[in-house]
Amino acid sequence: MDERVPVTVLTGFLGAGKTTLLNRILTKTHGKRIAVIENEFGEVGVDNELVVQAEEEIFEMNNGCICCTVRGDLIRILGRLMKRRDRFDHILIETTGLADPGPIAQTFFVDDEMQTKLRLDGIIALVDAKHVWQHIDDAPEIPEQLAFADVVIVNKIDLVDDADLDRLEGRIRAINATARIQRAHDAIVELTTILDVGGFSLDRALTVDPAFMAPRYPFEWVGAFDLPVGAHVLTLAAGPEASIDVLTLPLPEASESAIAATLLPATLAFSDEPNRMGEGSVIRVGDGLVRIEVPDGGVSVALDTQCEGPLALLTQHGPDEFAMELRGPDGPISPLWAVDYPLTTSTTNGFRPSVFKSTGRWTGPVSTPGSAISWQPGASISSEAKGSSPSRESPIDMSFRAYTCCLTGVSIAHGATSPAARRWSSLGAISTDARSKRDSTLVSYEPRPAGACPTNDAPSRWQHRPGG
Amino acid sequence: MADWWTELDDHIVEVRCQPDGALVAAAVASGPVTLLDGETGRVERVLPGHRVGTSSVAWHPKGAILATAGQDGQTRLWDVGTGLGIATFSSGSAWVERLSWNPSGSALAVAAGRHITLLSERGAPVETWSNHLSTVTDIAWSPDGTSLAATSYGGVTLWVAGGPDGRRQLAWPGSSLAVAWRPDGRCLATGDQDSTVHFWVVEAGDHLQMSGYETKVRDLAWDASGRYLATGGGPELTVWDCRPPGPSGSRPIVVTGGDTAVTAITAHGGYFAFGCEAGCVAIARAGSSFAAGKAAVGDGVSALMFRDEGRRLLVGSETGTLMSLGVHEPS
Repeated sequence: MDERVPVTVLTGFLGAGKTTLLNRILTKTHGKRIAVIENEFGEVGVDNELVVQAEEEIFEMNNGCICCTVRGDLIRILGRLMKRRDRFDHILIETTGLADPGPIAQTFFVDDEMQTKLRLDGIIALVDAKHVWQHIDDAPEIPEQLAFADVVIVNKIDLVDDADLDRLEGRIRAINATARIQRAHDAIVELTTILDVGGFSLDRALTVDPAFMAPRYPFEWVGAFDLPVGAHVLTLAAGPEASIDVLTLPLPEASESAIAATLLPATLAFSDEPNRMGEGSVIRVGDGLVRIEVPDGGVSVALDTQCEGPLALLTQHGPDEFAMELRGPDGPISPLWAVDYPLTTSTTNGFRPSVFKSTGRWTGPVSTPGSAISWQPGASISSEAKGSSPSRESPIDMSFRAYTCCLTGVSIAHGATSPAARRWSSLGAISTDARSKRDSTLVSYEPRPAGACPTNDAPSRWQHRPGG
Repeated sequence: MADWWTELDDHIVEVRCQPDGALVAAAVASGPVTLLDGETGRVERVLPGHRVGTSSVAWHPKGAILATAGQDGQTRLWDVGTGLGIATFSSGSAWVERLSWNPSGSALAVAAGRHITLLSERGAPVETWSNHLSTVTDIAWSPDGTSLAATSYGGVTLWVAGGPDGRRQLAWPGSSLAVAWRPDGRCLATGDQDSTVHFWVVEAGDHLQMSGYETKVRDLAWDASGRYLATGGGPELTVWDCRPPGPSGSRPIVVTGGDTAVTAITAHGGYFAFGCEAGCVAIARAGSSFAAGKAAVGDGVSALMFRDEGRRLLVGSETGTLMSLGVHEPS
C-alpha cells in the first residue's frame, strides 16, 4: 500500500477562484488534516489547518542528463512539513495565477526525498468561464495549466450561457483531451472530486509504451533468444565502427513484456565501463557490458550461456551493420523476437552514471599521507564489522529516475520550441492513447533546445555516438 | 550499549553539545529545545524554542548563550543559566534556515531566505549580506573565522565581514545544499541537489565535481586531518581520499552501514559516524581499511554528534529518541 502523503496542486489564472475554492476546502468538515502551501498572501485565515507561505523559487537541475526545473521552495517546505509529528492526510499547494505547473510536477519526480515521501495526486486547474477568453490566446500560462490538469473546474458558470460553456469546453478538450471537466458556480465542488484523484502515478509513468521512448536508448537493437546451455558463437563482420558494445541479460521468458522490463537496467548497464573483448573471447551471459573490437577481417566470440533459459542480446549498433550472426551447434539461430531502437540525431541526453566519476581535476592542497589521524581509541559500537565494499548495484528507484530523464527527453526530441498550446496538441497527436498522452504532458513541459542541455561533462560515450 | 536515553516524542531536528560538553541541546520539529545533562541525560531545562518549529541551534563558543532559529522567521538568544531569552531578531523571511557563530563568538550568522545577517554577541544586527541567487541552504565559517561560505542555487558565495569587496562567488550552475570547510581552510566541499559533490579550492576557485550518487547529497564531513571527506547521498558512506594526487578520477571508499539512506554524518578526529533511515548507526575509522562497527538504534537517525573527545556518540531519531552511546575499543 502506498503510504506516501498525497499532494494536490491547485492552479488557475488570476481571478479564477482559487482562494474561494481553498477556503471552501479548509472550512468544510471533511475529517482530513490538510496542510496548505500558498505562494502569495491569500485571504486564507483558518486556524485548524497549517498554512505556510512560499516564495516561488524555480531552478534548473544540472543532473548531467536531466534538463528540468524544480521548485526549491517546495522541496524545503515539504521536507520540513514531513518532519512534523502531526501527520497530514493531504497537502494542497496553491500556485500563483502565473505559475507554470511543470516545475511543480517535476519536483515530485526528480527529488528523491519528495518521491519517497509524497505522491502527486493531481493537478486541478480553475478557469473563469467568462473572463478566460480575454487571456487564453496571449497568456501561455493558461494552456500550460490546462494541459497539466487532471481536473479542470470551469468556474463562474452563472456568468455565461450554455453555448459559451460548450465552446469553452471544446477549447479545453483541444488542449487536454483526458482531463475531467467539471462545471461549478462560486467554486462549489465536491471535495472527493478534487482530492484523491489519483492522477499522477509513478507506476503509471512506467507503463508508457517502450516504443514511444525508443529514440532515447543507448542501444539500437534488442533480440530475445532461447538458447540451450553451452557455447554459441557470435560472429561480426567489419562495420561502420571499429567496435560494438554488446550486453547480454537473462530473461524470465522470451516475450515482449520481458524485453520491455530489461530496457531500464540495460540502459543503466550501457553507461558502465565495458569489458574489452576480441577474437576468441568468451562472453558470459549476464556479465555486464562488453566492447567487441571488430577488425577488418571480422571477429568471432563465444557466448557462454551459464544457465538455461531465454536471454536478451542488446547491441549498440544495428546487427545488420556488422552482419551479426549467432550460431549454435546446429547452425544460425534467429531471435524469437527482436526490436529496433534507431537513434535520432538528438542524443545529448545521457543518463546519470551508476559509477562514481569525477570531472575537473584536483589542483588543491593535499595532506601529507598518514598525517595527523590522531584520535586512537579504536572503534566499534557493537559486534558486526564490515569492510569497504567498492562494488555497487543499481537499485530500482535509480532506474526510475533514469526513466524520468528519458521521459524528459521526449519533448526535446519532438522539438518543443513551438508555442505552448501547439506543443500540447501536437504531443497529443503523437500518441492518442489517453494514458500515454497524459504521461507525455507530465514530463514534456521543458522547452529547452537540445543544444543548450547541460551534459554530463564526464567523458561519456553519449557524446561520441554518431548521429542518426 | 547506551549510557542513557530519553524520549522527546517528536522528530529531533538538531543535537548540539555545549562547547565544554556539560549540556546537550536538542531541538525538535514542533519547536521546544531541550537542554540535557551530557553525562546522565537528565532534562535540565526546556526552552520554548519557536512557534512553528525550530530549525537550527548553535552554542556560543564560550557556552553560556544558545542561539535558536525557527520557522517563525526569528532568531533568539537564550541565557542557558536562567533559561531566559536575552534577544530576538526577526529576519523578515518566512523561516530561518541555519545559524552559525564565528569561532571567536563575536558574530552570529543567520541565514534566512536570500539574506545572511550578522548579529553581535548581544543579538543586534551588524551587517546584512543579500542577493544570493536563491534561498541560502547552508552556511559555514572558515576555520580561521575570516570568511563565511554560503550555499544556494549558483554554488558557493564567500563573504568577508566588513571588507569593501566582501563577496566572491564560486559559481556553478546547480543547487548546493550543504557545505563543509576542510580543516586547513584551503578548500571546501559541497553536497548538491543533483546528486553530486563538489570540491572547491578556495584561493584558485577551481572545482572538481564527483558524480555517481544515488540521491541528493545533504550530509558531508571532513576528518580532522583533512585527508578524507565523508559524504551521504545513498545507502553507504562514500569517502573521498584527498591525499596526493587528489581525488580526481579516483574511486571513493564505500562503507556499508545499513541498506537504507544515510541521513546524518559527523566526524571527530579520524572517525566518522553515520546514521541511516532505518535506524542503524555505524562508525568508520579513517585509514586504509576503513573498518566499521555498527549498532541498531531504532527509528530513522536524524541527528548525530560526538562528545567527550569522541568517546560518546549522541544519536537523535525521527521519533524523538535521544541517546548517548559509548564508543569502545573492540576487545
